[in-house]
Amino acid sequence: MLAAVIHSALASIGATLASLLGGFALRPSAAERKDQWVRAAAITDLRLGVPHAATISVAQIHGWYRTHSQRVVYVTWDGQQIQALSPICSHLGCQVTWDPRTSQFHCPCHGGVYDAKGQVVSGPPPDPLTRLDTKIEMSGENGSVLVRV
Amino acid sequence: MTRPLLDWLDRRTGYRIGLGRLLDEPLPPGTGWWFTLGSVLLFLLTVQLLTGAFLVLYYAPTPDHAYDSVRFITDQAMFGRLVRGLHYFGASFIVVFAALHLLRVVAFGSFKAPRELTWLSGVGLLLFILAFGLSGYLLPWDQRAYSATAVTINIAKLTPVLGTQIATIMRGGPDLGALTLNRWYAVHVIFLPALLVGLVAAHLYLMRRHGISGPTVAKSGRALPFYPDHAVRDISVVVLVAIVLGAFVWHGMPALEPMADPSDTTYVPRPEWYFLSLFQLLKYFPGRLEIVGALVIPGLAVALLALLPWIDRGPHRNPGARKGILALVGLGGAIVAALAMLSLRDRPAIAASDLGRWQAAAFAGQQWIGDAGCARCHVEGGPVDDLVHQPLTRGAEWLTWHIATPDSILPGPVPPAKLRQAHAIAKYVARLQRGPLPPAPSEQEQAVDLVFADSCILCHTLDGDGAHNGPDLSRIGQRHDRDWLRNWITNPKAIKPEAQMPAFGSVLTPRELDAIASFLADRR
Repeated sequence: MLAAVIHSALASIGATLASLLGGFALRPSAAERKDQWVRAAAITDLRLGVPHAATISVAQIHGWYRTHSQRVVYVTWDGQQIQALSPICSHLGCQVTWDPRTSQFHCPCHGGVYDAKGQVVSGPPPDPLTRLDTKIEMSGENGSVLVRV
Repeated sequence: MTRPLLDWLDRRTGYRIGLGRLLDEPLPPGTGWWFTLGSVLLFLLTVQLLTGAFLVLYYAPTPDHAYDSVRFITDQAMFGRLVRGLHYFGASFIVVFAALHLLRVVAFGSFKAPRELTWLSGVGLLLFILAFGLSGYLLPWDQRAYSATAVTINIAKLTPVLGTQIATIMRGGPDLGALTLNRWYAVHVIFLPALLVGLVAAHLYLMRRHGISGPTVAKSGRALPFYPDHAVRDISVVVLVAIVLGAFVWHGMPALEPMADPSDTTYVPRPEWYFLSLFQLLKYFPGRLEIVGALVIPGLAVALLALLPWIDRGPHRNPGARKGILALVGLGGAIVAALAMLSLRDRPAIAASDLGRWQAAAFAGQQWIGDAGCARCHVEGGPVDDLVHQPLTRGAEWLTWHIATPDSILPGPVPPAKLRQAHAIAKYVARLQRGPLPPAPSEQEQAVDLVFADSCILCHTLDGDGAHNGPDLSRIGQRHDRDWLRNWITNPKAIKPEAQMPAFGSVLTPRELDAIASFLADRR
């Protein structure tokens, strides 16, 4: 009887502490990521069939830490539509880079290759490069490409 | 004088009996040098715990300060390079000696009953050692830290059912950032060391409980006490390893790459040497099969290793009677080595080491910095840090704007620099802090650097630096000779009417045109 009381008390204390600390550690405190529209390029920056590597500044909130992080997106124009591609390889998250000699994106980590539209050509990536939503914002005669990140 | 004091202490604690039990362990006859590897590991783990504890005195785990605090430890703290070097190279030594210890145990069949749990705790320790390496990666907050952590978290994300949740917990949120650095720091300096110490204690307890396995074929003779007969072997090997480790620390520099920059798409990530085989394995499983290379094969390898005492259950420990199992382990080791070698061979042309080279823009920044008036404040003993010890964690963008508009920071007679020049000076300051100055450039090189940083860099890339709107010029000499290049730069439309590149014939002087054409023709 006494042993059962001791075991129950210990189990209760252990379970309470485990729930408290487990929840504290495992439940990420950061808020859900909110989409932002960010200016990526002027329309005059774009060239037919050549992805434009645009450096964008993204506001980020990591718990107590707020910062603006520099990222790259590739903005392409195929003569008909403008699209923006994330440079994050769909394999394991390294950053692809555009090779103008082969007109392909290459992942320096595990050898993934994508074409100018972000479709997988060869290597281990399971999916195309992520397409980001774009919209055009006109200011007088000048237009800018905005991307949603 | 001390004798009565020690007697008093012994009467209260009984420490002499405890010490006697610890040191008088009887060892089987024939226990030789192969049985010193565990003591070497114990020594190396102690060095890691000690140096790690002292590195915490200066290290600051926030994105704004981590990189600069590691630079401070390496460059300015007294013996900082040596203490960090011990921690950095010691990590590799631990992996080497853990592998040797494991191979010794396998070769001698020391994992066999009744030592199954000793073996399992050892396999657990090996995984902890690798987890230390992985969690320690992120702490310097450099390029390798950022990339390696992103890849590690994406591998964890492949876990069936719970992958996304595991990745979110590892990041501490939806993105890799300050909370990720905080929790990996906590894991590296508190949780893992606590678990490691517990597991090492369990491993040693089990080792003492069942005794050292000794030679594979029992030898006749008298059992010898651990102290001093075997302890002298242990200390000899430990001293030898300490000397070799000391040589690495003295002559080597613990790696610190450029600060983490997610906008740099030219960086070529490569893991520490002991993860190269896993890194290479990931290349061979395309599409949805990626989980096979990332989790299934490594998981099976660890499971096979852990289950070895139940796979190799025969009574014999003699290697001659266990050729099959030894061949299997040897094959596994050979595959790991071959994958690592293939990974080294597959390095792309622009590797991390190339990024350490002085780039043209940084050279140009060196030439422009004299005009920018930085030395009015940024000198040794001046009101702010000198150029070598500038904090870098404010980022290249802040530094560039500070140079372009210095009176926004401190109103005064410092002239603002052109934005392109500010970019180049920022690159120079960042590069200056990662190594000594290169030899003085020739007159031709100076002209090339200025032209490149002022014009070409806006569209072209050279050695990984610049924009990607035009062809990469790093190997342009393989395709065109000097005369063709000079004509092209002077007026591209004269060679190719639809060319988009503007003509520079009226912008650059003939001397500059000659210099840059010769320079590019030599880029092969």
